[in-house]
Amino acid sequence: MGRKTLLASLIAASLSGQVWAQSVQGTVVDEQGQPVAEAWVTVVGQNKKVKTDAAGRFEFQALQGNHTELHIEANSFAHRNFQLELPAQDMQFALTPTALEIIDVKASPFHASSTESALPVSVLAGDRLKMNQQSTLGDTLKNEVGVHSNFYGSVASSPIIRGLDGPRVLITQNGLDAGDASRVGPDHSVSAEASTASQIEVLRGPATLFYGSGAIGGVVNVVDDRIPTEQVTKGEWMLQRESVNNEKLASGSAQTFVGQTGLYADVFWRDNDDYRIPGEAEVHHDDEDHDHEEGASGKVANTAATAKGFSLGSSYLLENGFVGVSFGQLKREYGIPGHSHGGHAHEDEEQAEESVYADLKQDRVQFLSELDLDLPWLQKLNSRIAYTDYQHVEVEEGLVGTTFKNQSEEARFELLHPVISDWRGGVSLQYKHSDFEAIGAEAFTPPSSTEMLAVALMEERHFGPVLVQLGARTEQVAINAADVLLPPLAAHSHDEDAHDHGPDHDHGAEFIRVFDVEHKFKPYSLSAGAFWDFTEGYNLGVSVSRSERAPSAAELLSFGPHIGTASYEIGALFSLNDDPHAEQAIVLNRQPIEMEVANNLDLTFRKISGDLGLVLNAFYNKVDNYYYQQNTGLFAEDGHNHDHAEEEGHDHSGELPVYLFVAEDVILHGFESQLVWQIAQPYRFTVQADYIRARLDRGGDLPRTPPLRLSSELAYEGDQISADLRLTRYFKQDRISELESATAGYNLLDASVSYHLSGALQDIVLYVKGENLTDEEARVHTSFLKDKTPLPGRSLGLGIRGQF
Amino acid sequence: MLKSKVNVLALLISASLLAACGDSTTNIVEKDPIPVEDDHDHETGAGRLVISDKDSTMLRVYNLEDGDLLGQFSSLSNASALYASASQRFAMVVQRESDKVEFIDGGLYQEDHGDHLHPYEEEPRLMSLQLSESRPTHVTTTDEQIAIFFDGNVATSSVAKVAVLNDDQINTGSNDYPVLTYSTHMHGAAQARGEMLVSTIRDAATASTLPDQVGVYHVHGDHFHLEQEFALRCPGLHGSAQNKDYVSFGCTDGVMLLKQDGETFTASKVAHTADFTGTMRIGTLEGVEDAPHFIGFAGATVFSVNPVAGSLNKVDWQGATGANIIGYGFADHGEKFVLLDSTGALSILNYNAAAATGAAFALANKVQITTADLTTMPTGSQLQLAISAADDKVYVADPLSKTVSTIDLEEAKVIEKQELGFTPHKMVWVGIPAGHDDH
Repeated sequence: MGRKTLLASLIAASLSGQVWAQSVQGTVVDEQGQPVAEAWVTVVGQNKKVKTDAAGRFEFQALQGNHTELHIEANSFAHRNFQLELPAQDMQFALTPTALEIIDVKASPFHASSTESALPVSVLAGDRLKMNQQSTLGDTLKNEVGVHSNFYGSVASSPIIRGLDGPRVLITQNGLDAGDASRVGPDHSVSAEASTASQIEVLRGPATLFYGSGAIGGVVNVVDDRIPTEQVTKGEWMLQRESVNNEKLASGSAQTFVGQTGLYADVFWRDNDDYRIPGEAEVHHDDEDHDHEEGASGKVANTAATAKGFSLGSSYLLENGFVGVSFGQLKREYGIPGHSHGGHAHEDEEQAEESVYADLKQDRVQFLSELDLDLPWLQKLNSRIAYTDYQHVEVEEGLVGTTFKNQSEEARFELLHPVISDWRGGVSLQYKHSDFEAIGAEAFTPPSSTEMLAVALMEERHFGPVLVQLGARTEQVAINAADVLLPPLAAHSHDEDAHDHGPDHDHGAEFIRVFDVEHKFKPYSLSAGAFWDFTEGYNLGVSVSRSERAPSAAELLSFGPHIGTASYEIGALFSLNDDPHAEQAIVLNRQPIEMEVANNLDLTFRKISGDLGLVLNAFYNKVDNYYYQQNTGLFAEDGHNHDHAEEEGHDHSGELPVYLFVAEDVILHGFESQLVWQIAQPYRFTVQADYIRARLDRGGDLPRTPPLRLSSELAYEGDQISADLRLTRYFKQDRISELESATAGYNLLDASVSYHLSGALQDIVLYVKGENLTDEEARVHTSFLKDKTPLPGRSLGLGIRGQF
Repeated sequence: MLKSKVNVLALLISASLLAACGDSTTNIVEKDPIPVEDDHDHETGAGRLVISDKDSTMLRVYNLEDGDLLGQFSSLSNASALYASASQRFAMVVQRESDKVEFIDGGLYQEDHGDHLHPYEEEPRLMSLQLSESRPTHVTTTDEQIAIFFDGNVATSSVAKVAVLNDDQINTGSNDYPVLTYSTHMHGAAQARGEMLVSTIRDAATASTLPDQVGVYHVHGDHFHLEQEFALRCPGLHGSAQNKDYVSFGCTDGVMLLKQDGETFTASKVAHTADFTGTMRIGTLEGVEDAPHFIGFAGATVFSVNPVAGSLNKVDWQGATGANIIGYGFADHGEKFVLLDSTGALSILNYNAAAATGAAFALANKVQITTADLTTMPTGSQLQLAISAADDKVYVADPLSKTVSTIDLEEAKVIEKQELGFTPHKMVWVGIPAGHDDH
């Protein structure tokens, strides 16, 4: 392969295509030389894509340059890249079979899949997505390697990627921020629906390069076809019922086109009751003497939910791409379990626990476009714009307690240049604005607006078998809050005699200090990755990155009771008063607010081809100024209606522990491994393991760190019947932070059987699935409600879905 | 006090802080602070006690949060009774023998700020308003109004009067409250019902000072007009109470009921049942707006009165032989009824408002406040009961031990005892009642 000088290639790029017009024609075959039909062949960097015919043949005309790179992918074969000199006629391109499931990631402007990237990615799609989908995103993804759920009584859950969640894991919908309130509270539902999604992608490790501050721990991208990108008519539908909570699900989507106009619609509805559990809901620790009678066993109260939504989209399908717009609406009403405000357990009343529920509504308008422009300086322009209007209210005893609102706009443009000296890449411009507001009893954060403007440069180039990816990004983040409140905190420690009829009502402090706060951050990120096909069927990925993250408004400005975390949260803008005898326990922090800096090293080893596939990832992430909530040992009132709260012998029922956001250096390291063995054609055996250690640099562990997990799955895939049996072992977690308790290990046994019917009009699948078949009582260490809501007990699901 | 603090602070504001570290800058400008708007209208504290001194005219106000003495005031003469005003902000110091009523502001109150009730916590003070009429005796209150019955005095040819006033008038020291003036004296009873007043009528020709008839009066500026007079008699009328729909009076032959329907009242009587023997009669009645039942005392025998069913049912409170009821009232937001008797036992009854038949009041617990020999109590002294409207506590003052005990009704025990250093005589709770709907 001849090397061009930079100058020559610049000339090449700036001249019109015809001068260098070249063609390639060939056949895609398997190891035995048999043709592979319906394989996608893409000219890398030139937006040309064709499918092979029945004889495995394909042809490209009028390619640029005199050498090119082809990417070929086909079902159950490992994806492969071929570099060749042009023109090339009658070439054979051999693919090797793989046991691994390989699906392209749409979140990245570069081609990436679970076997082809420097950073680990995984994709949940197709039947596996349909079988694993749950009403909440974290629970949907909990079986993915490296991903755990922060299980919030099944009514809400967020994916935890390598021990990180909240403001460090970005949830996107078609590549744009989901725009909900899920990043500030575990009880806030993620506003993305899995049943109508076409795939869900997980990027593990820092992805700030593409997504900015919020993606320092990873990205979860929920993809659907709401904006059609091709002229096809297709559709799918699904009906399902689960026994453990009587969940009923109906969903469907359809896509078609009229001339050059693509049309899409989807709709879903879910409804479930409180879920059943094998034992008692609440764990009582010795230091508590509550005589709770509620939810003795059987069910976890207040976990019913109902949700519905739809989206409509249309696009204009061009020769060189598409332009489309969509509107989506999502409504969800769900109970918030474990929300017993102090528990005035009247013995004669059944409903000792208050019924609190959230009522969520989101409207979302999206504009997506991908255009191949083939201009001398601009190969391709990808545009994504979204406007999201989100609101959820928390209703207690029929009255609105707290309202959360998030209005956000986001725009991202990727300008990809033509290949220059074999370098592919481009510039990404991103703007994001969010107005966040919380009003009411649990409005623990003041209204704030966050604005982000970023520019990033990403380039990749093959050096023989090594693909090098480089990226840099600079960002401006401004957080403005005009009314940050520092209320007098009647906090006290519980060390003193609790029965001294103490005047813990500080009537001396009768004002709230108010601040106008303006934060400005300029985080930047650098990353370098290499991906080496060191021998046929194997590759090695290395990625190093330095990412900065601006702390979120909630981490900086909070001050108030947050029932979702059962704590009184105080942001990093404040600090503990050094004088322990002072009237005010919390004062303004006069130390500079620093950015979080993650230095991440990621190693990936993959064996792709053959009956045995293996993916091993190891990571070491040193995060400086990691913002986390430190227990102050103080207690403050939860701000709720406690008629009896201030009586003697204060029973602490109306009080919450005070947690303060502080920045400390932490180290996270761990591994993920996945082994897939195609034993014989219909039988596949998968073993997965992941482990994470999250510790403070000065000693001590971070809270709610996922335990070591090992799972094995035996799958049978016949023509008509497919089935799987999975056993997952969650080991005990005893690496715990202060005031956290250890969690016992548990086993979950899941199984499913599907029966496939191929009809003239549509393919239908009838299925039965069973989860937690041994009815194990399982407590999730990563859950804020660990002691209140165990995992659901045995559940049988029955469903039918169709596809046309 | 609150205001001055904020003003001092206002001088200290607007300090600007700029902190920077590398690529981060934080700019903080302090703005005017805002006074704490505690919108939790039920987090209003334990309240205060006003206690009169047996041996002097001194009235002391104690903070129940910490037991501190907040203020002491001298009334014109010894208090014959202490009552809490309509909102329970003020203590009414009734001095029957010297024809006076004075008022002490307990200092705890709340103001309607539109979207919330704003609580205030101030020093107690003696109010300027004084009522000087003959023999103030029975005082009844609703959430908004106070009716003070002045019995009059045959010896001085003073006629009976009823003054109807509210807390605003006490606060502003206003004398423009309406007064019903009778043509004769009587040991009567009155119940204020907004613009209406249900009050007793005595035939001046009879020898008894007790009335035997009831009339409905309507306010006209500073006086009342009789609008309705009931033919139904209530011989030996003593004791009255009201709830949302009814006003009740105790008669020697039963309980007279007036049902209000708009501006019209209909009279009826619940006759004595077989439980009444000899001269037994109900002479004391108690009721609150939200409780459909009244409770009546015939000596130490307690009856629940169901005005809708027209029934009288004996309440089995298991009083000790010879025990007299010396204190009573609805407690714990109307969920309980407490009875203090002369043996020093506090009986806690659960109140079941929904009971159409059967026991509306059921004995739940008894708390022995003191084991001392109460027969050695000085003449004119007895245990005094005060009931918190803020929570489920009641207080009992003991003249023998010179203490006040705090009783938690939920736990049914004395949870604290405070030394007073003087002999308590009368006692009343003042403060901010907890809302009715937040329980």
